[in-house]
Amino acid sequence: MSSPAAAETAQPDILSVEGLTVAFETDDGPLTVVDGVSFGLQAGRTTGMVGESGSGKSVSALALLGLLPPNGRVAAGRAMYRGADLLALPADRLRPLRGDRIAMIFQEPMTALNPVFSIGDQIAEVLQIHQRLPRGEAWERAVGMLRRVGIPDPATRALAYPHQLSGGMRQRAVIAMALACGPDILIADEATTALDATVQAQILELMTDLQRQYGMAVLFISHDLGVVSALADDVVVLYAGRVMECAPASAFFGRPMHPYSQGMLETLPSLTPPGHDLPTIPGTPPDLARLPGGCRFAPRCPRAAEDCRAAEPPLTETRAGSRAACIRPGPDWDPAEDPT
Amino acid sequence: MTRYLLDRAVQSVAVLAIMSVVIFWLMGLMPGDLIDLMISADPRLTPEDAARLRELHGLDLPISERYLNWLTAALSGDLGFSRLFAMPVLEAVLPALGNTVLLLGISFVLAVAIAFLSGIAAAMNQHRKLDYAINLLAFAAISIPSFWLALMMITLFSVTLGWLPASGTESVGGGGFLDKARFLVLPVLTLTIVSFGSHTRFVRASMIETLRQDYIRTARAKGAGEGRVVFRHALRNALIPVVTILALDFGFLFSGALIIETIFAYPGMGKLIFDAIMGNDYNLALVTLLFATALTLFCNLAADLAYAWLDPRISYTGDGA
Repeated sequence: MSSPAAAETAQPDILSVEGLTVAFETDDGPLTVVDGVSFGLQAGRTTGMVGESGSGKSVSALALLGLLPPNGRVAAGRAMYRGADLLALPADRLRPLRGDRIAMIFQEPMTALNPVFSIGDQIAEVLQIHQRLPRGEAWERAVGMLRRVGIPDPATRALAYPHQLSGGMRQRAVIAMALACGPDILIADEATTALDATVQAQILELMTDLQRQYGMAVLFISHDLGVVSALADDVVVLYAGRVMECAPASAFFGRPMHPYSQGMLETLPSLTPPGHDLPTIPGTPPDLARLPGGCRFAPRCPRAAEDCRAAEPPLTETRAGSRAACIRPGPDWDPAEDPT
Repeated sequence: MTRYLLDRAVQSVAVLAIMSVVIFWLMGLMPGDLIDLMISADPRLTPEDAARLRELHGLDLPISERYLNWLTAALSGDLGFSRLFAMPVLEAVLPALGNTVLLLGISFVLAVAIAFLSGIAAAMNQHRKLDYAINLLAFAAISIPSFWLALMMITLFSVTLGWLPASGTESVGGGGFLDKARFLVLPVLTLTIVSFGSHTRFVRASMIETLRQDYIRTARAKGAGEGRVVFRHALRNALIPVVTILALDFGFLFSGALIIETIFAYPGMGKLIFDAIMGNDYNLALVTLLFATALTLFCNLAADLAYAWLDPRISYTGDGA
């Protein structure tokens, strides 16, 4: 899936996020969990957003759709979609976009589906809301969607309730629901994390297929670099609410520039020779309420020096199409050459 | 499903049979019987007369034999004669039942309607002023003793203001629909107020819990409006636990009616049970108490059936998941 980046990044962004900042109201005051995140999505391309739990991946996605929990709010930033800023749109103008132009699928297909309605009902509902289809017609289309996502005997399965389906089937139903209106953008938040490995592979294949058919932009959120490498065209790495690196997948998986990216890639089992312990990144992600001064990865970074703790490094271009937030970026960094 | 209903019917009959033994035995423990009352009413009655009368009424038999005699008669449709009302028990019970159904029915519907409106409104505005106001009202309603509220209602609306009648079901000489409705206002109001508070709390809690679920976020991500999210996606799920509580609570409402009906001299089942026990009217007390048991059993069954209807994960046919 990865292809030369230079030619394709020329394509205009369908969604362009700039400086997205999300704060949560806590008992100890506001807590910034997403801090100035920027990225773009392009039609027909998949952007993989990776990071550890709590790095702000899901919150970024929820903020775009106006689905933050009541104690969360967008503190700054823009998300331009077809000339409108999603973050500034009033609720009644954002709602018609949700599920129609911008769809989202969630991690846990068991809890993401309403237990008291049949899956056919839940898929048909999207069409009833956005396309004002009469019930019968919406139901027919729902059955058609179930067929498209590879559910056998869709007319019968449409009548099934979520608890009567396997995890993989449920996630297929969730995908059918998300794609029913043919969205421009699909946000998949850990869409395969809760599934068995074999089912996960099937769902990834299905999503790749469907993206090709629909030509939508996909934001694929995952903590699993292996999964992201299988389908992403571009990669955005988040750490403690900030973008650490943003690069085309081929460049990223070939030569990551940020030490955090390098650390994460080294922890992939496929890169470790048999018989060796899996490497880990020492330390733990910082407490967002007590961030270290300067680069927030510095306490865990093998290259960290005094100047890293002085100021937060901005996201700067390291090579064509790639950006990293690091003073000493590069794959071939050697401590001996470092002047500091 | 039929199998399940049959099972439940058999269970219910068994419970009723056990309850009839318990009630019969408890009433046998009560001091004084029919004959003692006759003696106190007529001092010329000799001990020989009393013994003869006891034998005549079968009261000299051991309690187990008396129970079997009663059961045989009851099963053949003879529920006995009410000493207090000087008529067959069934004839005394039926009009009271009608009155109680009216009183409890209206109060229950009103209390549930208020509970849903205020509970949902509170859940949607959690930790805001409206939520606090509704909670305050609900707690006040839960804390008010029903007998005190009934007396205050009478004091205010009947005595001081003179707007509404304090007791009975209709004006002397009978009245039309409006006249009867006027007599219902105070007891209905009292029962509604004492029962809506806890219902509101349950609806609110269940709704808040449901609104936190992932599938609510999915519904919003689908583009569903707030009304659709709350009334279609959340309410049906939130109803599942609430329905059980409401059904069980209907039995509580029945016992609340006992106090309310007595205070408002409203001739319903509650007052009938009270009068029957106070007046040593065994036959009447037995039937009315058994009726209360049957009502509770029925409400439980209704709750279980409503459950299965609301929640497709629950199946009584045995072939579901």
